[in-house]
Amino acid sequence: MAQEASSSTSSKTISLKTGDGEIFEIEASAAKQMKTVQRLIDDLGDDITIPLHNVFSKELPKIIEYYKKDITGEITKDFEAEFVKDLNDDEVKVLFLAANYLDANKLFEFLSQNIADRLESKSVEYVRKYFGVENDFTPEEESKLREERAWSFRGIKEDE
Amino acid sequence: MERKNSKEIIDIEKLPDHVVIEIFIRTGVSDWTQISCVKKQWASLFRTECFWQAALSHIYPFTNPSQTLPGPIPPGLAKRRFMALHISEQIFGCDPDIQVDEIVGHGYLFLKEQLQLSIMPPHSGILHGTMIADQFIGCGKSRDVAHELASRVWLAVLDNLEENHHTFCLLKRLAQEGDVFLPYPYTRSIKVQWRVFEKLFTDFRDCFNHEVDYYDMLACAKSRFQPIPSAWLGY
Repeated sequence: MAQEASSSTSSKTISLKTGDGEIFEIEASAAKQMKTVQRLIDDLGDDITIPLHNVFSKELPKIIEYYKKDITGEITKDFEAEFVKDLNDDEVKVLFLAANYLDANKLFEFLSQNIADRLESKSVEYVRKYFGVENDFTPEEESKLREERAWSFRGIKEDE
Repeated sequence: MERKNSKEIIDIEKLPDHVVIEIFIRTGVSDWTQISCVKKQWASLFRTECFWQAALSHIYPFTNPSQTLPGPIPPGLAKRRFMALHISEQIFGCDPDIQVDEIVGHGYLFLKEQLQLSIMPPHSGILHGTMIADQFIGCGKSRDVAHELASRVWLAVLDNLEENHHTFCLLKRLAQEGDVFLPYPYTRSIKVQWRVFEKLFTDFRDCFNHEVDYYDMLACAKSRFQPIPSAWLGY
């Protein structure tokens, strides 16, 4: 856990402590990409271990991996595809929420797109299950809504 | 391995609207019907200006949302503009980063709405399509281009009118109005006139209550088009 005392930010690392008490190191330049972290650094200083109550040891390494690539400018479509390839739906959700909490814009947009892709052409029930959401429509309300929606884009060729 | 906050973390439900919207705008239009049926709060998101502005800036980034369009047809709020762009893209296969294409979509929406109002006959500016052509001229298009675009809008609208009695009456009216003199570029093009008759004699053949009406309309068609397709003589 060598902390450089030099003034060059490129070799400076920041310590992050997860909600379950584990500590991870990231480059200061990567930390800059996560606005929440950067704000905490601005408030607490960069020699202190930054506490992240809502991010845990399961997901933080993955996030760090992403931004390690980002600061070297190496994020490619292939890398992104690999990144999400083995993630199940819950894992993607957790990462998405973490990226939102950390205000890590690039990762957040990438994961938004990935979740959107996972929902493509899926049924309403599937989407409900995915988000753990209860249906609060009556069947009549739901079919009325469908009719309205179909109307607003009627004439557009869409898959039903 | 107790994660006190894990329930909170997985709770996408508790996310603020503007975050959830980021997912929705990336699924694409065809999934929005499904998404809005998931729960009432999500359905209500599709009625917010916030959602439609996000959709516009993500899907049609070249459009300036605060731009006002010249011409008589108002662009409306973000949802309307989005629909116009979407329609332009889907129906007209246009390039979404040129201003004229949004105009084309607006023309389509406007004409379709006006024709489907229960007023019969429609206001003459609508019936003759002068407002549509004026819209394009107002945007600096030449008369030829305005005429062509108006034509395409008419054809798309005619193809997408609801199949009901009101439309049948409207089509008859349009067929009979063909004799009204209008200066170029407000004249209804040949292909539009053709499509009106075609729809009457194919999709709406069964609506003719009396054979006399049918033969009158056929005579009208014959006076304009020689020869007429055998499909119009309908069996």
